[in-house]
Amino acid sequence: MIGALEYEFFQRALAAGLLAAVASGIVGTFVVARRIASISGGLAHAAFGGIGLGYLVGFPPMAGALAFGLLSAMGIGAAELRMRQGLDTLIAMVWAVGMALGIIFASLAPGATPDLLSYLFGNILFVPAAYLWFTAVLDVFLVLVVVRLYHPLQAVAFDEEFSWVAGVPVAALFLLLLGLTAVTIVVLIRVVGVILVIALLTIPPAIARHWTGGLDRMMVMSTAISAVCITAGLFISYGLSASLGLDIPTGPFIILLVASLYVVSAAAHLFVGRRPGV
Amino acid sequence: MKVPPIQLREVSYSYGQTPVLESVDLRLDDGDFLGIIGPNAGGKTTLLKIVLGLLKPDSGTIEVFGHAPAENRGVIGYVPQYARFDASFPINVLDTVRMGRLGIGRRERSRESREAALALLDRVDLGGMAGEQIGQLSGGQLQRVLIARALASEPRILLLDEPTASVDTRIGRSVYELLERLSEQMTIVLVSHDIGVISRYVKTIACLNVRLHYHHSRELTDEMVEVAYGCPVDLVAHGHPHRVLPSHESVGDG
Repeated sequence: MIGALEYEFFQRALAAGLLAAVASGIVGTFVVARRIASISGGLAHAAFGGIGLGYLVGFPPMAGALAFGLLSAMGIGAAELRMRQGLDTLIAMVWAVGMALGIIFASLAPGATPDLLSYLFGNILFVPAAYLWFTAVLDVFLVLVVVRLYHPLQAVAFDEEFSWVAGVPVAALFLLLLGLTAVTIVVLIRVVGVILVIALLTIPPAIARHWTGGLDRMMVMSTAISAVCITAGLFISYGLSASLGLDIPTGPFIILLVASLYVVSAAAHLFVGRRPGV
Repeated sequence: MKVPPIQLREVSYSYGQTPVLESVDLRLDDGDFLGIIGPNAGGKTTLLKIVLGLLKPDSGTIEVFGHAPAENRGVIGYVPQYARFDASFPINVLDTVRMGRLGIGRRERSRESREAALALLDRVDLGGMAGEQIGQLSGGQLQRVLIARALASEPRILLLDEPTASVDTRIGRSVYELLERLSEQMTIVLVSHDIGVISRYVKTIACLNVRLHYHHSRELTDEMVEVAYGCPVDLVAHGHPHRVLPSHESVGDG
């Protein structure tokens, strides 16, 4: 299995996975703490509409995903700030409409039918160099944002009303958080696909929450968990395919690894009886 | 003439068809310590949220030191209802208190806000707890963290929503004693359904049940209680050391 490292495509996939793990760990921690998992799911599926539009009109599908993801994030964010509750229906709508648009656009696209499955479940084994650069820049930006705005972001995620009363720019910070979530989701679509994104985003921070408190430590720990699971997923699925000829897609495999780890962690956590802040 | 800390004129608010507040007038002056009592769903929390600017009244005006609440953020320290609080959020005590110092325009070094927060924790007797996750705290400790957080913004007004709900009587008393000391430095409004305890510490009491009944005094009249709760409440029978209802036998009370 280690022999896989000799191949450039594999090295690139591994680098992509590790870079994506950083973004996922940072943003996922906020997603879990602020409880916006369902919004994140909505954004991922809305992005699929952009992928379809890309095929139809002829621009890079990932650019379409980015545009749809960001627009939906601002729309849902504005609605959330205005109404503060009862967004379930809106999120469900964005979620399903994104998928519907994606499929319809793609079916109308000229030429060969696009490979939608790789967007739905990820395809990290063959990533372009541009993806690595984009993800690296996103990681640097996320780290800078967290270093600079750690306390305000934490405050807004924790208690929006108090933050507003104290004079914190709540709306701007919340929209920033949703925007960064949308961009990170688009990056993760490459790794695990539209359908599995929420799992990669939320399960590692949930595991980290078992063992530590504090957003900073959760970010570091969930980045490490994502990195380990993505790396292991890559090697095992490659190994199975090289030795046994089993063609197991990497994305779903990564998710199963993360989910298994969660079960083990939850059991160990119950057994040890350490429940920080729960 | 001095600008009052809080001035409400004819404030009304409703959720859909249900009126929650009807033409509420209220003026507070510097140094006031007002306790607002009333039944659940009587509009207590709504009134606080309107003063804070979190809710906009359907009609009427509200001024905080002469400005709309939204233009005067950071002037009021807010202690939300502890029971409605997400205590499972991953944040420690120190960072929670520092939230009060994050307002825009308050440019200060991380060390300064840290030291200010630590000093406040000492003041509410939580000196050694800075690193604890808030989920580890008892109800009374969390309540004091929330008060320290509100004080961290160096407010001129303090608003508290049910500050002693779900803490035991002894801790409740220590919270009120702290507020009594603070009331020498700032205007305080607290809402509670806990008539007996509240009346020992506040300077004036109002009753709120959609309409506000307030006579700038510490005594509750039968009429106020009846209007507020819709039925006579025998306050004296519970043996509180302070009689809040005027005695019917005219002079002298327990």
